[in-house]
Parts: sequence; C-alpha cells; structure tokens
Amino acid sequence: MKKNLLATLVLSGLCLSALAQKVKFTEYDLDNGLHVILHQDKTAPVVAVSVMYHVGSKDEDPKRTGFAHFFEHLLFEGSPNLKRGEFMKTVSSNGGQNNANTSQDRTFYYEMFPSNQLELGLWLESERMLQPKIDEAGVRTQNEVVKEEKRLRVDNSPYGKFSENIFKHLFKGTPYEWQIIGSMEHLDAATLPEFLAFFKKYYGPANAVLTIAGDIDVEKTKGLVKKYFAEVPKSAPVVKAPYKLPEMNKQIIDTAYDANIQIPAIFTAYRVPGMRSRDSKVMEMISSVLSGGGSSRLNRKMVDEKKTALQVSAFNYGLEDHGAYIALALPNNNTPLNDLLADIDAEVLKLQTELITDKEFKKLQNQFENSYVSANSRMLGVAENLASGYTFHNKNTNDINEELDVIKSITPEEIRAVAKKYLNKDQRVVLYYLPKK
Amino acid sequence: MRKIFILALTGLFAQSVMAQKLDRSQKPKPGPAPTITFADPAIYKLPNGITVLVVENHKLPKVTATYSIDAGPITEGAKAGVLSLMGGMLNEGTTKKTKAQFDEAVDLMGADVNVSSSGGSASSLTRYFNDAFMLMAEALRNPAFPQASFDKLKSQTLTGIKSNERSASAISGRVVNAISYGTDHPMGEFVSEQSVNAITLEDVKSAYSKYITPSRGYLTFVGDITPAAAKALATKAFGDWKGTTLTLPKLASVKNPTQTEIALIDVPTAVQAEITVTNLVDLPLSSPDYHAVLLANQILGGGSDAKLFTNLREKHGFTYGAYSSTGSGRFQAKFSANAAVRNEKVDSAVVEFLREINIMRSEKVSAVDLQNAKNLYNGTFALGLENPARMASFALNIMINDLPKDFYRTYLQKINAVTQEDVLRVSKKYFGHDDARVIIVGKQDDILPGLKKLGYDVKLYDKYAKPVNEAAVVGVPKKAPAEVIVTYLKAIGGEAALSKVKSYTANGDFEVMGQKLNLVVKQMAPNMEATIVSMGGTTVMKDTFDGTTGIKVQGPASINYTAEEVKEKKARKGIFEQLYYSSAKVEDGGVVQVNGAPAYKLNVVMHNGTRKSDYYDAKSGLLVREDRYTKIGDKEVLIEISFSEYKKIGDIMFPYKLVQTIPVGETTQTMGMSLKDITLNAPLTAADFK
Repeated sequence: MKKNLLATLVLSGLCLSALAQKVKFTEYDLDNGLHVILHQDKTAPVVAVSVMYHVGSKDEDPKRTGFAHFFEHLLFEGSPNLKRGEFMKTVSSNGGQNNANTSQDRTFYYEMFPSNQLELGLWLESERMLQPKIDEAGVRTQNEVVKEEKRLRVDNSPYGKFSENIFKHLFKGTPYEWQIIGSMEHLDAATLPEFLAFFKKYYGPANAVLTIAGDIDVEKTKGLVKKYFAEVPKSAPVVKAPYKLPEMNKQIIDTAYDANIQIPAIFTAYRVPGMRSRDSKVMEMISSVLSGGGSSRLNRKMVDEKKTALQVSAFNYGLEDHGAYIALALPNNNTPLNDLLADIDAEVLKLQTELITDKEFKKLQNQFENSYVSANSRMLGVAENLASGYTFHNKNTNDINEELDVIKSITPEEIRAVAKKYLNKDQRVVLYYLPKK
Repeated sequence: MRKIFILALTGLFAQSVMAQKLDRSQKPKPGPAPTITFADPAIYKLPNGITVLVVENHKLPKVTATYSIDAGPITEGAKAGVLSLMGGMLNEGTTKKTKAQFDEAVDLMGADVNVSSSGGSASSLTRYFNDAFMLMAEALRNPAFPQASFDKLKSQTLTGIKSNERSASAISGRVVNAISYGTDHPMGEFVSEQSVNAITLEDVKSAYSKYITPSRGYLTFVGDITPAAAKALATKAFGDWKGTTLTLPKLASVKNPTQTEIALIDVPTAVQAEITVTNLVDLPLSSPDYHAVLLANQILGGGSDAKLFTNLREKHGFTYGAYSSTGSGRFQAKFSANAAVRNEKVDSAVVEFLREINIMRSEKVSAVDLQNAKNLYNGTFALGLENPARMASFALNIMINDLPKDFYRTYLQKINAVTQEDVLRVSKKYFGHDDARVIIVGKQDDILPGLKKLGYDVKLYDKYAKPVNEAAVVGVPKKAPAEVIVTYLKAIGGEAALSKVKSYTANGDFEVMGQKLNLVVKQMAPNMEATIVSMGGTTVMKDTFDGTTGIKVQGPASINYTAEEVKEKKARKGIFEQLYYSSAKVEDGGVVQVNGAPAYKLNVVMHNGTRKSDYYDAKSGLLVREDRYTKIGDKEVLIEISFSEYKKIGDIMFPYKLVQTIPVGETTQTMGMSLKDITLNAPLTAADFK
C-alpha cells in the first residue's frame, strides 16, 4: 500500500488528469488468510459484495474437466441455514441482484444490494465459503442444469464452438486445452468425494479475495467482515503446479462444423503471453488498431472498402499463464475464406514491418482511456477489477490504477516489435468454421 | 503493569467473542433504509423548442448527451420500415464528411456517436466532448443520403426479414401486435418484404425532413459538464436549427374482444409454440393504479419466483420460462403473459395461464408475496441510481408524461403503500381473463384439436395476421387420394411422358443469409442420386448414392450412409415418386389451405417406411408443398419444402423454385433455391453418383 501511494504521488506531477480517477481502496488479510479489499463510494446507495476464488478450469484434473464451472452452480445450493433454492430468492426478495461466472483462471461470485443490505450479502457469501451444501441431490440437480446450459450456450449457440476448436490445438498438452464447461462424461462420472475434495482444496479463504465496493463505512464494514468470515477455518495455501507449454513450430489447420450457422467464418489464432505481461497489453492495443471501431484497419478495408466481409474482429484472449490472439472474419457475398485470411495476414504483416501512424497512436490512447474510465463507472466493475489485480498481478491490487500508465508508456516501435515477436504463422491455428447441413 | 492489564482484557474479550458465537441461522436484518437523494437536473428551453436537461456529475471525466424527439407512435403504412432505414442512413456520412471520414473522426477521440430516426447520442472523455457532440449534431443536421448506402441498407433489411421468415418467435412478435391493435394502427403495423421494396430514397428524405426536427426535442447532458457549458454547446450546435412542427398523434382507442378468443397461426416447422395471453390496457403513469399494477405484475409473472414461472416451469415443466409484463404510458399498451411451450402441452399451458390470471383476479395475494415484490422494487430503484443517466430519464418522464414534480421522490412511498386489496382490484381491472386474446404460433396439426376442446372461439390467421378464410376451403369438392395423384401426374405431363424420363440434371442457385451458393442435382432411374453444393467454385458439400452405397462429404470430412439410409434410398423406384404410390400407403388428409389457396392433403407412408404429407393445389393439381419426416440424431423432425414457378421442360412441368425449411435447435433455417437449367435424360453414367 505504502509503495503504491508513493508511486501515485510521483505520477501525479506528470499526469494530473488521470489522478482524479484513481480508485482508492483499503486492503488487509484476516487471520484465516482471506484477503479483503474495501472501496468506498457514496455516490449512490448501493453496495457490491463479491468473492473471487482463484480457481478455474485450468486447475481441474484432465479426467474431471468442468469442475470449476460446476461449482459456480453448486455453490448456490444453500447451506444449513439456506434451503435449496433460497439463496437466489433471498437476494431478489431483499431487492438485490446476483450472479457468478467462471473463467479458465478464476470464479467470481457477487451480489449487488441497496447499501443497507450489506450485512445480508456478507452472510450469504460467508455461508457459501464456510458451509455450502454439497450433496448427491445438489450434484444431480446441477448436473441437469449444466447440461441445459451447454445445450443453450455451446451446442445451440451460433459460432459457439470456436474456442474449443482453437484451444485444443493452441494449448495442447496444457490445462488450457479443454473448455470451461468441461466434459459431460467427466461430470457424469464424478463422485461426491471428488467434489468435496475439490472444494476443500480450492474454496478456502487463503485462495479467495472478498471485495466490497460502494456506499459503506469502512470501519463498520471491517467489523462485519470479521463477524461473518473470521470463523471460516484457515485453509492451506494453494500451490499451483507449473506446466510447460509444448513447443509449436508449424501452423495447424482445422475445420469445424456448426449446425447453428448459415454463414461460414475464418479464424486465425496465435499464442501470446499471459495477462500479467506487458506484451499482453501491447496485444490489446494491436487488436484495437485492427478492429476497434469503424475506422480500424480491418473494418475499413474488408467491410467498407472491399465489402468482402460482413464482420471482422481481432481480440486478445488474455489468460493468466498464456494468451490467444484471435482474428476472425465472416464473408460477404461469395468471398472465399482464404481471401479473407489473406487480407488479415496482409494487415498483420504491415504491423510487423511498419510503424502505426501518429493518428492511430493517438486514437489508441484515447480509446483505452475511454474504456478505462467506463470500466470503473459501476461498483461491480470496480470490485471485479480490484480483485483481479490482486489475484492475477502478484497481489498488486493497485494494478487497476497502473494499467493506463502502462498503456501510455507503450510506443509504436514496441507495438511493431511485439507484433513481430508473436504473430508468426508457425505459432498459429487456422480454423475454417463451416455450416453443417 | 499497564501492558499486562491490556493483555488480560484482550484475552477476556476474545473469550467473550468465543462464547457468543454468531447465530448463523438468523438472517441479518437490513440496516435503516438508505436516504435516496437526487438532484433535479437544470432545465431550460432553446428558442427553437428544444428542451435541454443537464445532470451535472463530476465523478468520472466523461460526458454523455442524448437527443430524443418525442414524435409518438408514427403510422408508416405501405412504406413500413422507412423510419428505420432513415435512421440507418443518418450514420452513412454527412455533406461534410464521408462515412469513412466520420468514423475516423469519432474513433480518433475514442468516442461513441450514434444517430437514429428518433434522435442520437454522443459520449466521450470530457476533453473531447465538444467535438463528439458537434459530430452528432452534424449527423443529425447534414446527412448526405448516398444512393449506394441506401441500396446496401435496403438489401440488409430484406436479408434480415428473410432470415426470420419461419421463426416462431419473430412471427409471434409481429402477429401479437397486429392482431391486438389491428394492422392499420401504428403499434400493429409491421415491416414486410413488400413494404421495404416500396421504399425509395426520396421516401427516406421526406421522412427525414418531417421527423428529424427541433420540435418536441429533448437534449440531455449527463456527466462532467456544467449547465452553463452545456447550454452554450447546445446553442452552438442546434440554436439556429429549424424544422417541421410535430404534434403528438391522437390514436383511436382499440377494443379488446368481447369474450376470450384464441388466435392460431400455423408454422408447420415450429418445434415449440409461442403462447401469448394478452389484452390492451390504458395505464398512464399518472394513474392512481400505476404502482399497484407494477407489483401485481411482479407477483404474477415478474421473474423466476412469480406465479407463472412456478406453475408452468417448476410444477409442470411445460417451458423453460413463463413471464408477464404490463405496458404503461400515454397510449394504449399491452398486458401480456407468454411462454414458448412444447407443441403437445399447448392446450394445458393455456389453461394454466388463464388459471393463474384468474387467481390474481379473484384471490388476495399473500402478504409475503406482496412484501417480496415491494422489496424487489425498492432494491431495483436504489440500484438504478448508480447510473447518473437515471436522473435525466426521471426528469424526462415527468415532462413527457406530464407527471407531478415529485413523482419519483414519492415513488417508493407509493410502492410501499400498496395493499393486498389494491393488488386484487387492479388485477381485476387490467389483467384480462374473460375478454383476452390467446395468440398461439405453432404447428397447427398438433395443437388445434386440443385447443378446440377448451371451449373458446378459435380463429386461424396466417403469418401476417390475415384471417385464414376457411370458407375458401368449404366449396372445394372432395377427391379420393387416387384421383388427386392421377390429376397431378396428368398436370405435370402424364404418365407416358414421365416414364420416359430416365435421368435429369438440374442446376441452380440458392441463398442462405445473403450467402450465394451453387447447387447441382442429378438423378438417374431407378435410384441413383447426387447433390453437389459449391461456393465460389469450391465444392463445400456433396451427397451421392450410386444404387448400393452412399457417401456424404463436407469439406475434408466424409461419412458413409448408414445401413438404414442405404435401405431407404435403395428402395426408390424411379424419379417421380408419385408414379409408384400404388405400393405406398396413401391416406386422405382433407382439404387445407396452402398460401391462402385450397389444396388436397395426402398423408403418405412410402413402401420403404418414410413418412410424408403432400399438398396438391386444388385448381392446378400441382404439388405445392411436401412435409417430410426425417430423423436428425434420434429426434424425428419435419422438413417442409414448397414448390412453385412450374415451367415446362420438354413435355414435363418442373418447379423452378423450391423453399426448404429445416428445424435447427430451437429455431429453423430456410433456404430458397432457384433452378436455372434442367436437362432431361442427360447422358449420365454411374460415375456421376460416386
């Protein structure tokens, strides 16, 4: 904290306008290892209560994929004090909203409440951490729900299978090769003791961050946090086994079929460094040059001028340990997919050999500043960003305030160098994504 | 000494905490309700009539401005869709900048600027806001209307309409309004292929000059800006703007039916039926009933704890979700309850919908249900305040709806004052049970018999809300199936000519979602078949059967026919199936309507076991539709094929246009094929079918 404050002071001389937006916070650990982050903002009478567990699909046994996402559902099943189905009902009948989501790297649970219901939010999240109901009946119910979700979100969703078909090649041999939703066969085969063991290992206070943002009194909130979370027993710190990404030295080409689409698509995906790295931020800037807004390079060339594409997009899929840089296009008229790929490749080559223009550089700065401001406009966004900083950036909660400075320090030369370093054909997957009759 | 004392005290304290272990079975009580404060926006009027509202909020270095023109519901008539096209055209460049230049200017600032037929918005970092705002004004005041952009947007609109042609939910969205309000009412009219085709660039320009105007305009600023700066900017951008004067339209009141009736729209390929129970309501925000209706609706169908969801999903499993909503405002609005329900459960679901509505109308809701609904509204109201734009929309609502100044200040007070008796009273008044419409879009054959048993009047409509004239079918003479087939065979050339056709190739185009593909179909008697689909010269799909084996190829993947598929194809006896109906089981399916014209329906079980229904036009005798039942995975689905544009090739009549609809997941996919050349008795060999 002290060090961060110093950094803020030094920067303030250089960058006055950004200072006004710094997100202030207090953070500390409970004796049981739970990390707590508090952010006060009294603008509106609302509070976000959230817990980020540092567990995602990459922490799963390769023979039991889908566990982390399964827990996203299972941990709504209640506790000795909350009957089945009462968790969500309690939230809505008290004027709140809640949800949860799972990534390859973490699971995020949250409630939004009018600020006088802060204590209720803490009670709910502490019940979930201390004594969730994990039994056969709950596992059976949620197994059906997860299958329904897979039908809706993956099987019946147009283009829903692209990441599956890219990641299985790009990250082959690592835990990023399988999908968050996992294998239904694995889930069917899983036993209750396996679920209990997974909970014990990953859902303890030492592997979690409790973040509260909104209309709170910081000292009072500290007391309430202690009241509800102090009795959660200390958990063993989670040590994540490192794994090696196997070498990749040849382009991989594959084809996927999807019954939900009528227009084919071409995808190209490169291996890039994980979100903690500076290069990951550079990749985000590269995405913006290629497809951020109507005047971006790919949009202008393929959608507006040549009219060969209905839609183009390029984005950095940043994960904790590695990342995927994905570009895609949907053809307009009869344009063959290979023509689209050639146009995308030409733009990538240009990034590797030429510097972006001053105008584009300025555009990038403005686009990132704008999205940074918007990302921290709601309490839930602030809570998640603070928790992510702590979870993924070496316990540096202040990452939320440093991100924009990093972006501002990246030069056109660095953008060219990073494009050259990572966007190589030998380290990519090309996926033809076609309608299935 | 003092140190020890403190330690002892701490020890004592720790012990007492242990002793008073938290009773977790007690749900924490809420703290005192937060005081909800909101500042009124600064409001003033520009001389040309624009009302300017400013909500100053310096929390973030960002400003958003929204311009909205309160024209009320606009009747578009035969040119329905013109307003949406006009709105699209406002984003296609100005007299000063091409679209590319405009996009570049917006992106350079990292800003968002959008305009539509009812106004526009601009949002950016404070330091760029003046420029972003001026761009929005430029797009609204100086559109270029290039012809090429118009053609592009028009074709996109038509593609969009086509892709939704068979979607039960899209059809439902259209017919529910059309039947409730009538198609000549602005809320009931809809965009169609015909109406879009009728629109010209001139229509767009005249809609622009009529509806994009300072009259009845509201300009809202929210964020890091002072009222003085906002006023200066508004004056600079719009001060000298002149336009037509708008008056709010007066709409004739539409009546609900005198007794509850069912409207059924047949979509034969629908896997689920869309059910909507609806009636029109007059519920201005100023009505003393307003707050009670919100709560009544919440209890009936506002979410997953409400009665409809609990009954139709949790108790009966008819549907994935069932909800209700109640409109309000200056014009007649709809109360409606709806769900997508499996075909075989439609009649039961209708009963449950009406039962729950009736309970709301005849029994008091429980105190707990009412309190939960109130809590939800209190919470939602508080959570909404996180968005500073909410203040502006409150102020705007007050002005537009002519509400008392304290409408939102007293909103929660009024919500919390609603009683169980109030909920009963308003349910009776606003939720129709005896004078409602039940509008169902689904597969008529499966649904109609069950619906008829419910005792309500059942009326049939087509997909465009036109009543299906059952009388058209009445005068058509009955015909035996054998006679229908003979008439058909005669109409397409006669048995003698048909039996001379030993093979053919057909070449055509088909289009899916704007994607053009080429299609070649070859057939050779008795049972050889090949279908080849290509795109831009590359084969993307091939399906061949050479009389003994078959293969399906898609890209690099290929699958051989299953034993079942081989058996089915092998059993085919020739090119024209109807020549061999003597070995099939053919049943009379009665006289039905296909595209508004009477047709004879035959239910056929082929000798190889495949099931289908044929529809022969009563007048021409030609086959106009075929419903084929086939298995996709382990599920039997219906594929509908329509035939039209029959033309003569040699002595034979061939349909040149085929439209095929296949169910895909919960929705359907439609492909239209136009044949270009057909060659009869083409010199084909077995090699063509490998």
